Amino acid sequence: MGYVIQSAGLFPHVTLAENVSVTPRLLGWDQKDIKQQLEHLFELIGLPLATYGERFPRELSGGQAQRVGLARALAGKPDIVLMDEPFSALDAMTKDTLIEDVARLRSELGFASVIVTHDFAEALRFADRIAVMDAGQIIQTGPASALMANPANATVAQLLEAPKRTAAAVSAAFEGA
Amino acid sequence: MFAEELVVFPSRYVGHLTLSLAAIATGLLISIPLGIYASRSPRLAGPALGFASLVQTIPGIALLALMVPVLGGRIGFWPAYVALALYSLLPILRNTIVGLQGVSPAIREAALGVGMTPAQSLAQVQLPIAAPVIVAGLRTACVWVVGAATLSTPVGAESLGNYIFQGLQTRDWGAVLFGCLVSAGLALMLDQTIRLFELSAEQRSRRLALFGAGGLALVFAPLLLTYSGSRSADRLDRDFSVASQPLDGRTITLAAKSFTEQYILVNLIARRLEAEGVRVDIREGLGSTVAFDAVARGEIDLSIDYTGTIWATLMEREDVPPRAVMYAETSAWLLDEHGVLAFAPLGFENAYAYAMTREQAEANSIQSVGDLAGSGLTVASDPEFFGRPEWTRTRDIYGLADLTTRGMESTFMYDAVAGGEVDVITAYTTDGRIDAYDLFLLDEPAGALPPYDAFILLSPDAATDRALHAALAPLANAISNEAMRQANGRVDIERDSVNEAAAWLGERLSRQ
Repeated sequence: MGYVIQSAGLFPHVTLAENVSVTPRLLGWDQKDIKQQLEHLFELIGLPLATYGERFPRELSGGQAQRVGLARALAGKPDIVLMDEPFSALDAMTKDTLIEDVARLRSELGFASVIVTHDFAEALRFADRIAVMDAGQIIQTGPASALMANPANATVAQLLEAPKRTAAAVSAAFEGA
Repeated sequence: MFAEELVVFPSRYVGHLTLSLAAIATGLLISIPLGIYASRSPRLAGPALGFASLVQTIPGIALLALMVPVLGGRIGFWPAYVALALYSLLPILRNTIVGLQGVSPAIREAALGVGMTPAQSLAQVQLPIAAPVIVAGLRTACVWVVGAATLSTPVGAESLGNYIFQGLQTRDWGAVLFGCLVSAGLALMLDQTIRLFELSAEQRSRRLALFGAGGLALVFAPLLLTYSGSRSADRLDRDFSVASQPLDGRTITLAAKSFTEQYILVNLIARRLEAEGVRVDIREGLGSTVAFDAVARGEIDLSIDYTGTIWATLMEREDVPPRAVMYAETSAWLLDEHGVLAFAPLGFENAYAYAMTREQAEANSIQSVGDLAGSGLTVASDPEFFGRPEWTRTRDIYGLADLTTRGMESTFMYDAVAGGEVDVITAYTTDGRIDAYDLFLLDEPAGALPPYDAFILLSPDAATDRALHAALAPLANAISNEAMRQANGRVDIERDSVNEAAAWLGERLSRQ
């Protein structure tokens, strides 16, 4: 299982290549396989290994760091990737492209992912199934459409209101233009 | 003079370096595991840091001295090593704890997230990230320990401190400066060498690692001198060669307390023994009771002490018997209580005497201490003297209550009386400055001041050593007050080396 954490959590004292290859190394892969995997992953996240491999985390922007964090989580070829608020610390533009990237990677590499988020819109874009949690309890589980059609309680309904209002405001703005 | 200092340089440098490196290595071995453990357990971190800070607040010289009784009276390398190792704990321990606690929780979580075990997380992530902070602690420890190692001289460990302690006592500021500079240089070299290795690891630069290795080579370079240098040949002048086989090839250890007279006498005895083929090991700059304890335990074979010192500090007697009685009683006590043999008196007495300039004595027509009564003059001594029975007795016997008393460092008394700043001082009767300043010693007929006959003490083993006795026999009653005073004056006033003064004294004895 791969794990992406909130603020990337890259190891500051080693290079990006070493950050990404840590799990394969712990799993005892061959040098050759590790090298291949690195090439592949860096290409997928849009940061060429030749340019970025020997850099250190402090040289990256927040979005780049989160991409490398994603690559590190994927390096051991996990079946499942757990993402703990991976986009929360990013600006809107970066967040948008990164969400696209993750969705693309997921379809290319074929892993299942569990994403933890406070932003319902993010969940809607990303998830096949959504579990709403409140005070440590799962309140309702199901595809987005089922939640929309039949919210289990007031909290779920309220949670759905926010993206609806945003969507309405966005539509109105576009129509006005 | 400088050449003589260089002859003993290798062994002092090696002693200093060995002591410092052993202490720092021990500090690392204790502090890092303890720091790792304490960084996760605040309950341990508090007391551990508290203990290390407490150690740090003890003045270095006191910590070193305390280790002697703690280690059951042992002197030399071990007490110095233990004290310095304790001294190195705090900076390394504190920085290990702070460094590890500074690793952000996100990084620690990430380490577990990528599949590391807690041990792998510690070794591959947390320690490397904390390393710059830990290394900064190590560098602080290096500077502290190398500096504090100069204080190991009084507990009998040879170090660069020998230059400083001997220089302070013989007022040889060149030697003091030399000891300070070499020790400071060593501290800085170690500090910078560690810095270079740290930088080379951080920047992955082989060039910086080479510089670091160069620095390390420089630190160890003086060790090569150990094998090329040897004692100066003039130590081996054979003016007293007595044919006596058994001493040949043996090692005999001599103690010198930290003042000029002791350095000269021990050097003189060393010459005689070396002429017999003995390998002499001198522990110099020892504290007074440290030297005696070492002789009583047999760690040192021979020391020179004074009857009045043994009487007051060890036997804790306050009465003042006549000179011969005190000699007999101290000798008997030493043998009964400690198995230490008072081998022979050297012939001179290093006692207190009231001294004035000749003009001032004549002007006030003063011949003896009793004449001071009612004179209203000022008398100076070291600050503790006026609190001791020596003074209260003198005062009461001769009615000196109206004299003004001034406490000052004994080194400055002689200049003060010569310059007329004070009228009377308590001089040491073998101090060379008595002659140099032409001071007049007052008669003290009532015997209020205790006698301080210098005598040779032998450890319980050495006490039965006939060959050693034979070699030392010519020294019995051989040195007059005047001869000792002149020898001291050669060092303290004429700036001769201890070696030269001892050679002069030896020659003078052989002509008697």
